[in-house]
Amino acid sequence: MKKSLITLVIAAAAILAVSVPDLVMALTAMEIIDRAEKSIRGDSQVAMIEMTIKTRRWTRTMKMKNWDNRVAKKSFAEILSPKKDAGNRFLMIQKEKLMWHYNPEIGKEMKIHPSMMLQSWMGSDFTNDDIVKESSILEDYTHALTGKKTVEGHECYVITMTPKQDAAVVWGKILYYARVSDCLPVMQEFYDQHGKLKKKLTCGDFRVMGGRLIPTSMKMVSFKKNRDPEQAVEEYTLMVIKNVSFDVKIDNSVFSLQNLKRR
Amino acid sequence: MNAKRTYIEVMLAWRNVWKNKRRTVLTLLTIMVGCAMIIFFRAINDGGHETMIEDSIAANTGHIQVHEKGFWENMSIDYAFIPEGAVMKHLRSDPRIAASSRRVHAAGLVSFENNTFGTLIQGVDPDREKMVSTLHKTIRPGGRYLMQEDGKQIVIGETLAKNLGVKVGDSISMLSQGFDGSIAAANLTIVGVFKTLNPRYDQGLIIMPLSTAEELFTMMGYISSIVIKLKSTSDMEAVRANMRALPNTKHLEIMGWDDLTPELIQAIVMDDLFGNIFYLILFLITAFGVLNTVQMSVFERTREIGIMMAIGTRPGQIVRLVLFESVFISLLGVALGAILGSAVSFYFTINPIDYSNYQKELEVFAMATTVIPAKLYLSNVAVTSLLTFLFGVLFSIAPARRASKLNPIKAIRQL
Repeated sequence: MKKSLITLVIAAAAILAVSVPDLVMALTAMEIIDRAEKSIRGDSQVAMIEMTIKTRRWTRTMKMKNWDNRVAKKSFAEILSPKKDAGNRFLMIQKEKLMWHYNPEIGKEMKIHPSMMLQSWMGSDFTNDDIVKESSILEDYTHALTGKKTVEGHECYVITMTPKQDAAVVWGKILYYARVSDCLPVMQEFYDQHGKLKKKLTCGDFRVMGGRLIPTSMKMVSFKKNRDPEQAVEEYTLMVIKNVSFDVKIDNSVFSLQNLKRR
Repeated sequence: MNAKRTYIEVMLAWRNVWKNKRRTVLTLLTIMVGCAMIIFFRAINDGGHETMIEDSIAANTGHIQVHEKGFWENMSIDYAFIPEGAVMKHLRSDPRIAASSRRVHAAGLVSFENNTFGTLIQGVDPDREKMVSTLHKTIRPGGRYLMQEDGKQIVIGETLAKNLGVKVGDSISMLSQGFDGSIAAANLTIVGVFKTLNPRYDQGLIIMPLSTAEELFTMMGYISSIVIKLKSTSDMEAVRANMRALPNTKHLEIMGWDDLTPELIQAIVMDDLFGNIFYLILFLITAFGVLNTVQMSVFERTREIGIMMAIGTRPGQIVRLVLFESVFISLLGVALGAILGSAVSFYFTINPIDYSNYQKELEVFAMATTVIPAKLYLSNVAVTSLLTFLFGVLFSIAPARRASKLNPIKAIRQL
């Protein structure tokens, strides 16, 4: 009788011993991503970004200015060039899952409907959802540290993110690769529900900008289906941060419809 | 000698057929009516399917569409081609092609006041479009279809108009992406509202002039699709095969209405499945009718067959005798049934059945035509006749064998 009790205690201890590190690791995974997001975005940032979209037919470069308040989860962007697209402005309020697009040609702002979130943002490989809900990778997914791997010459943690039961997300799985040394992201792989790789985001050009070491380029590649292999050329969207200042105070009026619509 | 024996068997059978006229006529009627009914129902069904196909492709789909490979799956403005070369030549030279029309397709947002919806935008050449589709006929009163000289004018689906809260004369904003990746935005004036029978069009399609679309979406000579209308729907597969075999079409997808509207094919296949079950039941009813009468005729002649066997007729001959009788009756019945069935079907081809009381039900199947003619195919008559004949003869085998197994002595004593 007594013996079996001891066995039970040992067994329980063994189970705990196995599962506790798991618990710790899950926390760590969450922390890694939290740290990564914090260090590349700060509490707030104002950045000049150059976005180059390369498709099989054309290459376009857009310059835009971006205001991002990570804490309040609001951001604002304005396209500066090329001339044809200049003056298009975007207001994103993540809490309301809202995205507004103002176009000077029609002199009007348009609400991007939740059902449009999967569509390409400005013809790029980023979707509206990528732009608006970026930080929800912290809240909508469960995170597990699933190993280490060397990616692009960096030793990285591999974090597997799976969507929470009730989360309205589009990916079946995200693999997040963050550097072991400083938790900066190196690569993200987006898989659909069937486990097929759909998109890959690669971060590079790590350098000090705005007083922080950050990756200054992000390259998104989508794996499109049904493209004739003969026509297959490299297609991607490259986002390069030209300059950035972190943790600056951004007036709340920036994230307003008035600012969106100003002439 | 064998030929002579067969001749005797056939003659005997032929005379037996007419010995009891009432019984024969009854069997004949069973086969005739069964065969005629199946032919007629098939014809009605085929006519319905044909109307369904014509209606659903007439509105906007056309018989054949040409796109750049990948367009249909992705439905994005990125997939476009320059209309040139062998395909374009073929469009002009193939006499089976009634007309063709170029289109630009894009997805975009439209908004009016506080309402925004995602839609498909279709740029068409108004005059040419009228030759390939019937959508222009579905414009609601108070509006009009696009005209050649229109610029930023559009027609819009009725459900979409309702959702946006707009009417003819209102101006809506459109936001989309051009072929070159730039932003395509414009304010557009509604000149007409259409109501097709396809809810997909009605709730999510706006149509603008091709020239406007080419400029707005910076198409640079590219187009999204060519829509082809044939003189006859039945030519589709042949024309499609011809076009696919043309040189320099590797980058294109040439799709027929069956590829473009798979849900239509599914509906027809489902309908055919239920139809076939129904026909099988009719076949079986007919066959059991034959079985019944042949069995009765054998039973009535027990004594006669006993005597035949007693004077030396072999069991095999008895089987053949009964089967020949059934072949005669079946042949005659099937011939009469085919004539009757064809005649009735033909009557309803000339005088189509008017289903206008069931318009709502038909709309579920995206059918605009409520007057549906029967459609009689030779294959229908041939297959039905053959099957009825086979069922009739097949079901006579059992009574024929039973007759041949009679014990002559017992049989003679019967009755």
